[in-house]
Amino acid sequence: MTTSAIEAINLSKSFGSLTAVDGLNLEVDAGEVVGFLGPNGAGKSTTLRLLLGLLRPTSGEARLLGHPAGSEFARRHVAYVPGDVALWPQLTGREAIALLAQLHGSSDDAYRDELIRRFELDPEKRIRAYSKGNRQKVAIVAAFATRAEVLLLDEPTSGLDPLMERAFRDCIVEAADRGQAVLLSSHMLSEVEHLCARVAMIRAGRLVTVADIADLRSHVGLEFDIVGDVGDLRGVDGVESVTPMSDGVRVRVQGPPGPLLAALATRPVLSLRSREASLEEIFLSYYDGDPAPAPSL
Amino acid sequence: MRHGPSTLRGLLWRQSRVSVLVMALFVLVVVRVGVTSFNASGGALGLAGTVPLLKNPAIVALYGKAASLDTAGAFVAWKMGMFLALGVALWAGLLATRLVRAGEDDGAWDLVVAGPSGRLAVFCSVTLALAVAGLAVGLAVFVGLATAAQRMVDTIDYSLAFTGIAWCGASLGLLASQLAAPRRSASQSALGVVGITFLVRMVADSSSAGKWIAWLSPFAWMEDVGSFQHRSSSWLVALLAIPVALSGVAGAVAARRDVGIAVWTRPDRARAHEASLRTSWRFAWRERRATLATWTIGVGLLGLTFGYLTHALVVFAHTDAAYVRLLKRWGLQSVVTPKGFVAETGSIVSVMLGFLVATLVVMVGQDYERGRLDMPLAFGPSRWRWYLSALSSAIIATVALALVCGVCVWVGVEAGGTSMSVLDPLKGLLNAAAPVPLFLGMIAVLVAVTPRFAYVVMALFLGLAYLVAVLGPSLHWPNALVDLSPFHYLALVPSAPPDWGAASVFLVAGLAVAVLGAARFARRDIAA
Repeated sequence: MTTSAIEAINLSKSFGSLTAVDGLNLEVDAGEVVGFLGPNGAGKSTTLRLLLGLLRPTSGEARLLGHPAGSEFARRHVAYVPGDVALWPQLTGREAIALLAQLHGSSDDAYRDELIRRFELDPEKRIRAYSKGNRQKVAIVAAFATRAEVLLLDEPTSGLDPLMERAFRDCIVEAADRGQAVLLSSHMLSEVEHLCARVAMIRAGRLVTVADIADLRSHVGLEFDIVGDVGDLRGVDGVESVTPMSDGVRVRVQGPPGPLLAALATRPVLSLRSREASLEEIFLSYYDGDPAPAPSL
Repeated sequence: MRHGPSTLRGLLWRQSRVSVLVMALFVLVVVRVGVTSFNASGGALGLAGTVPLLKNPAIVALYGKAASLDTAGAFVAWKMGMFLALGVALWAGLLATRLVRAGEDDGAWDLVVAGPSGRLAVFCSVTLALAVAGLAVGLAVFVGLATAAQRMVDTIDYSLAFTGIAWCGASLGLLASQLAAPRRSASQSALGVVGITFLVRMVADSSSAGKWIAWLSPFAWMEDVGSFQHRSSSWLVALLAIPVALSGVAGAVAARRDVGIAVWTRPDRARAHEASLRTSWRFAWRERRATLATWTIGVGLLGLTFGYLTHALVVFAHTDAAYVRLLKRWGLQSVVTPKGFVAETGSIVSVMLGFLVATLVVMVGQDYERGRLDMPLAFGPSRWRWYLSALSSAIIATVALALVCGVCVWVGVEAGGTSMSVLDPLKGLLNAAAPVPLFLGMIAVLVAVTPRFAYVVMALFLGLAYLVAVLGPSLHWPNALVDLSPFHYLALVPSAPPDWGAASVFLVAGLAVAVLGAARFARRDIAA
């Protein structure tokens, strides 16, 4: 039996009367990149801090590589990038990276230097002189240079420009190729969509779903923009909604599109374009307004 | 809808109210203890024999100028006023740097400054908050003295002088916050200037040649106000007006400089010194080295000054029997010998060592509050190791500083014309460090339980414990209360042998409590 790199087992955390995380179960395997999504205050950062051992669970268990979160072993094999990096302002970037490497106990110096170059970081500047994005780069370089088996990333690209976001994405792909497990909390859905095969969604401390993005898409369905006077399609099997457009209709289909295509075969269609739901649309379907109940996957 | 300035004032009140109320309460307690002490000493008649003492240069240097102690106000002003004023000025300086520099360091003021209020409104609101804080301290002095029998006009004068001292400290803090960053540098600059002006007052009072330098010290101006003695309101005007002028200068600088950046800032680029980053223990030293340097200078200067005063004080004791009787009544009979005076110096330095160890340990709490511990503790050493690194470096540094102070006292003693083995002040100051393990344990628990309020609680404890130890026996306070003060158990080394029993209890109990504190820190949530 193989041990998951990251495990949350009925993990709960309460602060007084507020339950920030409620019975959360999650597993991430080695070499896997899992997106962790949810609105502000949903409990993402609390979950990551529980996995890091910074917070003590009220109940349940957090384990990294089979060892309790916060244990000596877990700390030696995890690296972390917070969303708002706070370090000692008098240190230079190089000193901050060196400090974190020394405290962690391992660092790939060649890779560290390559990361500094890739992220165009000036390591001789003091932390206090860095912009938010540059402080973020210091944390990213320090975390990735450890080559830790588990990477817990909490909004790691906040403040990075698009070029640096691309550099970051390359690092994640490389980490996954090396067999590192990555749990990526982010509001940048395009980034998650690009990097993750699987996402976990959390709302009000409870896990709403954990699923492959492809499965989520199939549950949200396909969308068809149809140009032409195709008449009423609402009675067709699988059609969930029909929205009029200036020159036709937009149809959302749940499940196989065969019945819709069969119905269109006898109607005057001028053009037909299909589109899978984006992660943003999937996300909104879970969180916007009164969401549909979570699909059981 | 509330207007911007009133919202700002509300915000500043929330930031400063605990500190202001605690300080005002502390000042009130000290003043009331002074009044009680005056009455217990027999009032004006009982203190009539002190007149020659008041002319002794060493006593003048320590306590300030006084012609007679015929009212409770005069006694309070002489016996505790000067050191209380020093404490108030230091506190006001720290409050100013917290409200201005700390807010800029973490970007908290950016939104406010960028909004309709603007930087001028922020500066004026902070200045107003500091002015109110100074008035609160003055009011506490007034309330403490108002019921004692003396002329009301003197009480008002003296209360205003305290307000002026608080304003001086605050205005120096305001100015330092414009000139230096981050907050730690600004605080050290402001407190350094306050400390130097206090030493300037001591030097000016102890010699006739250098009297002119008294013009440079607000503590000397406070003396020259002469409340309960000869009144000179012109000095009171100076004491109140100069902080206003300093605040004006700070305002002018604030209007011209970039928000978030101080005028004198170290270069943004620097060469890495990685040797000091290899372990949490080395980093603990690196993080604290600037603070330690400042404290070393301050404690060293204090040791030199006290050492230098030894000769004058001891010579005086041998020429005046009434003085010796008075010292006996106050439980200070040991100061009639050089070794005895060094021992009493040690008891004062012991309080400072308590503040030092608290300052060094509470830096862990400050790092926690600012979120700096997230990454190191997430994938670095255990929390035990991190905390014990801070605790062990703090106690080693504090004991080392006690020894440095001992050497400085010896240099001062020799320079003052008294011969003494260097081992005597070293033993005395090492003995002064005896309660430090206990203070270490207390602050370790406080930081682990309540990082935000740890320093305030510890400072209150140290201040009150010292008062109890100094005044409790002469005022016949209950033994149960006096016994609670760690300073009560300080042996008068080198004039008496060390109290190994008390030192052992301090050591064992302190280390045990420190371990409990570390255990609590290891278990606590590191919240975002």
